[in-house]
Amino acid sequence: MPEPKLSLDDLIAQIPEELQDVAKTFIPELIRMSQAELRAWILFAVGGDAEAALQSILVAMPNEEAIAIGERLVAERLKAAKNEADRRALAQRLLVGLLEAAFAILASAVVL
Amino acid sequence: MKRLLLVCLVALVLSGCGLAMNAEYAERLDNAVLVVSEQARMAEEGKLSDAEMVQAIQDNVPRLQAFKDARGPWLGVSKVWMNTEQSLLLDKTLAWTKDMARRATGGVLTSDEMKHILRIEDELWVLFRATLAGTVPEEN
Repeated sequence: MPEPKLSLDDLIAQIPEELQDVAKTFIPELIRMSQAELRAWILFAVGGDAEAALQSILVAMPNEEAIAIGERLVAERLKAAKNEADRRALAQRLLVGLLEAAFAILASAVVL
Repeated sequence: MKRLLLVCLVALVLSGCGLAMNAEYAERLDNAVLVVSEQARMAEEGKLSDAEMVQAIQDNVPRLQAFKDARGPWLGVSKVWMNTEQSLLLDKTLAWTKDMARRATGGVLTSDEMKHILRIEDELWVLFRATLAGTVPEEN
């Protein structure tokens, strides 16, 4: 009895979590790849090598599409910058709260 | 109590962006942003020849590779601290930059495409610095 075929989603589920978004973003490119290219991509992705995995996708793209990936990276970087700014603002608010609590405890200890 | 206060003060100091990157890499990053921005502007104004644009695109690879080689998750051990999201973005940016350099070297890009690539690289460097500093650039 032949083994059931894996769907693309099943395949993506096998690679490291942090690279699954990359794989989903490039599904059309992955489908267009030859068997050898796809095998190379999977090996890089399973090994967690994002740089090599993306390079193996880019290499087969025409100029226009490959340059457009750069535009996508700009959008991703802007999102990352916003996330980082939010994270730091939250960390600073937490620390200020912690300091205020510590000083309040200290003040009450001195008064008592 | 004193210990708690000390921990709070140390944590407050560490929460600044000073430890995200050592001084050498902060300077490298500032220089890269300046140089790439100037190159993109000159290319846009038609002041760079095709050969100079190819060189400008190629020069971005070692610049970015230096940050990949220096990155790490541990403060004090790594020269540039990045979280997983930032680290993955650096890998993707480096892959793209290398591919653009390969195309530029192979002579398969038009002048307009090279100008476009330099504009994107300019934006990527500005945003890279903003991410490491924990700020959001006003215009992007």
